[in-house]
Amino acid sequence: MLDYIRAELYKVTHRAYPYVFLLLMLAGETLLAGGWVFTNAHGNRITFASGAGMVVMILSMGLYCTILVGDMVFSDQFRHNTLKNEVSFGLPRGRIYLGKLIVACVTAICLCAVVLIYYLGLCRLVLPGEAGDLETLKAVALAVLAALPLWLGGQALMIALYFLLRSGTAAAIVGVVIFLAVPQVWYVLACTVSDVFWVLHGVMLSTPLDEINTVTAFGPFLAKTAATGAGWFLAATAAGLIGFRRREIS
Amino acid sequence: MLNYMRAELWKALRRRGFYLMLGVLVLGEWLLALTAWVPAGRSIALHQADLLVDLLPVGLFCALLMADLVFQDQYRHGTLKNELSFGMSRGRIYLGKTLSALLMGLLAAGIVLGCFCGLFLARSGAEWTAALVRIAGYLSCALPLWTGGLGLAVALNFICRRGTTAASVYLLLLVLLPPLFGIGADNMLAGSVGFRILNGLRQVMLAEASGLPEALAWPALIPYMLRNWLIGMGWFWGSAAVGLALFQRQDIA
Repeated sequence: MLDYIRAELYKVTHRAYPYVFLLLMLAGETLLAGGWVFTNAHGNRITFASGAGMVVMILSMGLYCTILVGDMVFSDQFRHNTLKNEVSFGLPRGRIYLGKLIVACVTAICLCAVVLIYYLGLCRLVLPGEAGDLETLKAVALAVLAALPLWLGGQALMIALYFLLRSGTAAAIVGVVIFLAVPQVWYVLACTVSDVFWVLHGVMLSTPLDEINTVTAFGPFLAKTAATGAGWFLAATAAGLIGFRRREIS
Repeated sequence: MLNYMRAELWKALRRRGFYLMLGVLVLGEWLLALTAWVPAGRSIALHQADLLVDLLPVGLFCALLMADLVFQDQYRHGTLKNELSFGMSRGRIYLGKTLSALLMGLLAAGIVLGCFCGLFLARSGAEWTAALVRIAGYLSCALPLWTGGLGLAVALNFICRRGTTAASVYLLLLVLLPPLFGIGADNMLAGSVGFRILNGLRQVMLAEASGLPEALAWPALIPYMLRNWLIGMGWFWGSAAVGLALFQRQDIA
């Protein structure tokens, strides 16, 4: 298993894809911070607290990045041919699946760390500081910690979709539908048909991230996101493994 | 050109994903109709037609699927290479695929909206003509944006080596950029140059322009319609120009 993971990590790190992604993200962050420096020079006052607080507002974007990371690790032009090679070589399907899943999660966490640290570092450098900055940083760190299990659950879902669906585009679209559209469907059904749907709405991956601004008691919130993320991770991995085992790779 | 399009349409109509997408959308509409039928006995048609306004951005996601339909994902570059070696001009390939995707999109939109009208207007009684007019109004505002999205999706499919990359970039442009522009704009001083630039950029994003205030009757819709036609055609022709230019230079190996 370790050798397999090592091989997959080698593949991922020797593609341009993760670096292009990182470049675009870092460039975007630099542009954003540059805009604030510009506006600060013209009379506005964006502080480190506002800049860092932005992270909390766009945590759900992390879910969409799992689509790209899954694509980085998995999707090739000859994806099913490569898979066929791996399976004919004799590698057990469980190892193939779990190996790619682990590499995807590791890649996602590394990219996420680079993106966040660069952003917070940049904000610290260019934006004026205040007394409560350490508190703000702690709050942001806690928010990211709460989001992490949800992101990993999303990553497991995307890997399962990439394994189960033949077309990478279909996997990406289904992923977006589950992240974006299905919670809305539950919401509408909850408002109009029955309160049962609130439960379904509550266990979707994006719901806690959208509600994070209203959280007062952090402990229970963290427990809830950890449970939700773990649930999605296990369920998606189970479904993906079972589907992949039965699948005919031709 | 017509023969090429006929061939592309034949290919696209034979893909299962098209009917799967239609099925999912009609099922969704049916679920939505249930929510209107179950609690109250009979709702006012105008309210139900207005439900369509919130659902219009779905067309933007479907535009991505339409572009994917005419590009056979797995063997895309293999098939493109064949078409080029056969001697077809690159312009014809590009425009042919774009127009085929557009026709598929219009067909899908027709079917899905037809079902929507059937489901929602069936219980409206006398007010259904007014509701139909409103739906036509919303559609005229949304259609150019969908077309713009389609142009963008096709261009991305030609530019990116893999369909998944094209889909991911399209989704990122659609879902990620408008809120980022919005956040950036909110942080600028109102009225400053930076604010105006970012706000302007946000407003020409396809997803933002899809947002229509509810319950608008025809005369009030006209400015939105004109704006959306400008934005949509801008995206369509802009991405077609960029996509075609890049495709002309691309080395298909």
